[in-house]
Amino acid sequence: MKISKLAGIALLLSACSEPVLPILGPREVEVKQVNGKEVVDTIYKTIPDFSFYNQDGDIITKKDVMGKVYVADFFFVTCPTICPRMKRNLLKVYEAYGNEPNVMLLSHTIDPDHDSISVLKDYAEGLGAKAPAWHFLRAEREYTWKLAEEGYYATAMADSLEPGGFVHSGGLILVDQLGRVRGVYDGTSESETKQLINDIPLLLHEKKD
Amino acid sequence: MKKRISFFVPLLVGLLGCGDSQPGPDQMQALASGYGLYETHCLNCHGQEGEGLANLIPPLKNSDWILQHPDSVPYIIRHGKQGPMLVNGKRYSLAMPANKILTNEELQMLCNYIRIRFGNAGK
Repeated sequence: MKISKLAGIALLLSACSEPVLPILGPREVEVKQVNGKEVVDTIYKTIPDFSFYNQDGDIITKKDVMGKVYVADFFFVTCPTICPRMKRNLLKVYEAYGNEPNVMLLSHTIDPDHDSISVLKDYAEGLGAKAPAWHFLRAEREYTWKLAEEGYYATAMADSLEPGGFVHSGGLILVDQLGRVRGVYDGTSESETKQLINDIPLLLHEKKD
Repeated sequence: MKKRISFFVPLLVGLLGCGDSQPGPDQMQALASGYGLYETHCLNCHGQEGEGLANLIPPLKNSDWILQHPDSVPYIIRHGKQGPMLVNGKRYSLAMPANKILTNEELQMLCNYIRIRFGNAGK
């Protein structure tokens, strides 16, 4: 009788607990002394510091996204292949969370030579997107490509053989309030975008420290 | 070829939608020929249903611009389009890239597909 009661409580607890998204990327183990005792801590890699101009000409840095859940992607305005598909899906994320102040979208251009701030402004207006909920970011292209690869585990580079002259991954990268990558979703897939929309609250409900 | 068309028939009838009248044999042929071309060259930007993308990329579905300028469609596909255009009362200014690799025959098939599939055939 006692066992069955306990089993019932355990079942109830497990039903109430939310799934936890994995933390992606490398991690380090740190051993330190706390009150004379050895404590082992896991240090997860976070997005490095960054600084970009957005479509309004404002500077956006890591400070602006810390404490928020955000979705990052890499694109270019003249992209004839996967970018419009990604933006079509990102619009769904924006429609779901555009009024939620703790969620942001960061779309980084990988072709700043063409995508000036005014081009990004027109593009954002065409999508009906506004900062601070959705930033379209511009910096030197090598700077952006490096951040894509080292910070977000994404690909972005010039490739003359590709339509439009660039190759980039189509991932929508979900980042938590501490700047850790928690998921990469195929931005060309409607079902994966739905999953992303469903997963964002899991991060919003996590503690910030 | 006959086998390929028969494979596409149920799909294409579905694509045309329940409210539309049954397509004739010529229309079925045009849809079958243009489907793959649309998927390869147009779908990423203009969407599965020809819906376009917000106020960036104009729709192909029930487009008043296509109805009014049917002869300009193949030219735009081949040479691209710069500058704004007004479609169904909305202004679109994102440039469309040129597509130089389509043959004349493919271009014709694609135009027929866009005309029939997306309700741009006129009265």
